[in-house]
Amino acid sequence: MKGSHLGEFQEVVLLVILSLDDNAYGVTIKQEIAEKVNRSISRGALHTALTRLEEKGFITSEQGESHPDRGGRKKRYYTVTNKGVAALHDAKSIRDQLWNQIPRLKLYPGYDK
Amino acid sequence: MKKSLPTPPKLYSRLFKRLCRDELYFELQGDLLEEYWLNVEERGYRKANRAYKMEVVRLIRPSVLKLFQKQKKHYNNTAMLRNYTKVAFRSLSKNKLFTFINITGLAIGMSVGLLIVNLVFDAVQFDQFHTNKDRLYRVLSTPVRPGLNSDQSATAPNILGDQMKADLPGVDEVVKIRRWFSGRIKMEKGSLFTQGIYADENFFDVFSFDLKRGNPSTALSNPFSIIITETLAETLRPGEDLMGQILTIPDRGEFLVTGIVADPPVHSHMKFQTIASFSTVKALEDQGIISNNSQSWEDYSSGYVYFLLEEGQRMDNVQVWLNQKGLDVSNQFENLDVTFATQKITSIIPGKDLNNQIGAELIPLPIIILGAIAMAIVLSACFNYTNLSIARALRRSKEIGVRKIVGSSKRQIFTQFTIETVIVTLIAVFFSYFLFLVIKPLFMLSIPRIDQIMQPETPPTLMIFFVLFSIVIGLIAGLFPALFFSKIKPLTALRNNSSLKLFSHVNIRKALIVVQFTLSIFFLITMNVVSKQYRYAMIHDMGFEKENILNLSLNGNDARKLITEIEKIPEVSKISASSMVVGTGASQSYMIKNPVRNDSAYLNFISATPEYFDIHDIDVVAGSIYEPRKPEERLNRMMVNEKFVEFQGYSSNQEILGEQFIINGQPVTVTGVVEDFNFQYIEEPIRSLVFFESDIRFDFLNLSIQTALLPNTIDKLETAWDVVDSETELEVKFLDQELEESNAFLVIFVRVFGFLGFIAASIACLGLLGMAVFNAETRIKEIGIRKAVGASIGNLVMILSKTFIRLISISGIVGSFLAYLVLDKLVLAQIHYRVSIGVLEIMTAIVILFSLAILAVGSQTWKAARRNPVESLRYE
Repeated sequence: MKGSHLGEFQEVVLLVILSLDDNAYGVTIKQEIAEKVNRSISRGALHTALTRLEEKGFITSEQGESHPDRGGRKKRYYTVTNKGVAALHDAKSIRDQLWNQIPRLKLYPGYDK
Repeated sequence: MKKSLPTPPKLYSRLFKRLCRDELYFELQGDLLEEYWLNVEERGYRKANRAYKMEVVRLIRPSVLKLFQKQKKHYNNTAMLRNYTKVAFRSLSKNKLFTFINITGLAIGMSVGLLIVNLVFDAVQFDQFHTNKDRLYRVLSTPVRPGLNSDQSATAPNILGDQMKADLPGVDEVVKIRRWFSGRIKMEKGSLFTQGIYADENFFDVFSFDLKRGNPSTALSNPFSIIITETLAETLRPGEDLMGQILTIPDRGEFLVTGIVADPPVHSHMKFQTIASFSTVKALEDQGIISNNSQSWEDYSSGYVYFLLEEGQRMDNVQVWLNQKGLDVSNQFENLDVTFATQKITSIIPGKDLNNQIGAELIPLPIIILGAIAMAIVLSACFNYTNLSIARALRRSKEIGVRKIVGSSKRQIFTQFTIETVIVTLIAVFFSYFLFLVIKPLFMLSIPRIDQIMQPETPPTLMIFFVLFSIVIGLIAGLFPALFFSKIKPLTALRNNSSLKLFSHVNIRKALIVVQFTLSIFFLITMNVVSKQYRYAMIHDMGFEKENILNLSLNGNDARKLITEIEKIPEVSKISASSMVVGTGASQSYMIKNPVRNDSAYLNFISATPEYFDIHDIDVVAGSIYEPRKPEERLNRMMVNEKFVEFQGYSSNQEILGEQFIINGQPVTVTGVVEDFNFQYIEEPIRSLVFFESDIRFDFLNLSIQTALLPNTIDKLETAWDVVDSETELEVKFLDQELEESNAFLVIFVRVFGFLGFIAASIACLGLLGMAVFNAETRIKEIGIRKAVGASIGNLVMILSKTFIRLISISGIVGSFLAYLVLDKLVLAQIHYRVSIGVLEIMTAIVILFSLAILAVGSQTWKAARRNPVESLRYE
């Protein structure tokens, strides 16, 4: 099913939004990705990812309060939908399944020694 | 928290605001700012600025840019269109006065535009019916001869056609055509004058004229074969089959009808009633009936050469060959320098201004001028629409505000107002069409020979172009208002009317009024000046007697025979024969050689009997008039005018008497000198002129008669004419009448410009009326207050009219200046004997327009000023 596929970067964004709980908006998401995932991304790239996720129905957004720190502009907060959580679980189970299929030896070379 | 936060690079912020979608802008810009300030604190300005710039640049992506925003789809398009139309009609009927002004103005203006559309429509269709039109050309020639004007001519020596056929590869067919196969065809009773051409036998292979009867490849093979048109056949012998019959043309001979051709289409540059085979030319030349010119390289007035280029061939080769031919011919003849060029058949009409056209011609310049004037008038009507619509924006702005708030996009508002304008122009073109039907016959009457180009009827296809034209005009007129309205911001429109930036366009509106009035003044002054020139031309002393001279066309009859008949009529006091009607046009010319200086020039001549000078009251200033003498001695004597004496370099009139010049290889002696007079048009300066008595050149008899006994005299003249020529009708005309006719083009000018002036002035006044109404309406409270505190009606009228009066004064000055420049330096500069532009002509135009304008403005302001202040203050 095209359109519901979860890209790798999109997965990261989803996880970051979840970890930020109710403080997930543009700037915090970007900072979190930079710190935790060690990836420096542009606001533009993030925007594209967020738009895609929203189109797929994995996240929703709502306008929040305005703040003098940002020139009185309102923030847009993102929350992960149930569908988004389900997609994360799917992605994880596919990975786990793959992990389990791999013989231990290949993953930990030198383990039997 | 810091009191003042640093601002990120402004250019990038502005760029971002420009490019970013509106709905994303606030959150994205907020994020950018927040991050920027964080960066400033952590990493300092320079790095923060750089990061900010990078972020903005990297935000330039399709999901953010306005440019890539998909238009919202409106599935209810038809419903919206219906709504626009409905609203348009409602708002039109709500403002009846403005609608009336707009529609009237546009209808008047567009009627002139329709005329041009019609003219262009007819002109571009010319010669499109030939199947070979893409490779069918004709040869043009430019003969340069001393003393003669050297304009390019549609003609070429026929012998060139023969040589092309023989020598030039890459040409499929060559058709030689010769004009002046015109003459009277004998009918059972009387005769009929017909226009015809001579043409080669391959005529129908090359041109796509529709031969109804006869064999297209052989019909023009034998000498004395003739093809006639269907209409002519029907006129000559109604109901009879003319094929194979003999037609007699008195001056030419007996012709066998070998074909019947459909009448040449309206859109053919070549028109004829008869076509004779080209081999007839040779036969007639051998018999001495027509002069021996068809094999001459010096004949540039009667032959035409058309040719069909081989498919895929380039024109270059032909041009190279023609250039070489031109050089050869120029080397061969001492007094002739000729160059040849080619012209595609479809570029003949509309095309270059050429001498000796075979039929109709339409040079682009007058059309461009006419088109430009028509465009100026139509645009002037568009200005009115624009002006009034924007002036009324105040009333429409609330509607637009509401529309925008419920979700109209800019584009929709734009569409709405464009549709409204197009509806207005469509209504206007409907009325305009009726106006067009009225002015078209007048137009066709006043422009000479336009009937060869324009059809009197209006074909249905033309209607489509009229409608298209009106839509284009609608788009032009509606563009500015639609843009203006679509830009109105809903909040400002709804909150407070006065804050609308309405009056930012005041200067444009004023400028438009000035342009309109300038145009009107220009046309009116032109009309005045040209009619002054006409009056001047009528009373100008041309230097000869104009009254009581009756000119009789000989129509090929023998002058001497007719003179002996007419001499018997007592009412005719004096009689002479001559070659031209004096003062009405170009005369013929001869090469005259000065044996002393050994140079020659083409000079004008008039062939006249000695009585000519007495009848026209032309004074002899030296020597004497050549005496009547034996026919063979007549050609040895000539008279000259004073200009000739000067031209030939003699210091006094006496000195030239008895001198000999060479004409046609014969020595001719000067017997006398006459005073200078305008023998050509009044537009031309007086040129050199010689007189001699050559019987074969006589075309007219000049009779000096007493007008009191005119009907009686004409009867007697007819009797005399019948003795000599029983077949044709007598043609007589008074000299003063002919002179008047030769100046008729000035009358046309007066009419056309008078008409244009009238149209431009009415459109301008309508616009002014609209602006005055609007002005009075918007200032109604001001007027009420002024009146309540004691202003008089006079004061108020002054206050309200002041601006308009100033604008019209500016137009008056600019328009008069412009008219003076154009007329004095361009138009009148072409005319040798001309009037000067006086104050009177300018003042009458200004006074006319001023009174109209004051009437328009005054009536409205007067109405507003008289209103009871109680009412106007309570208004709303």
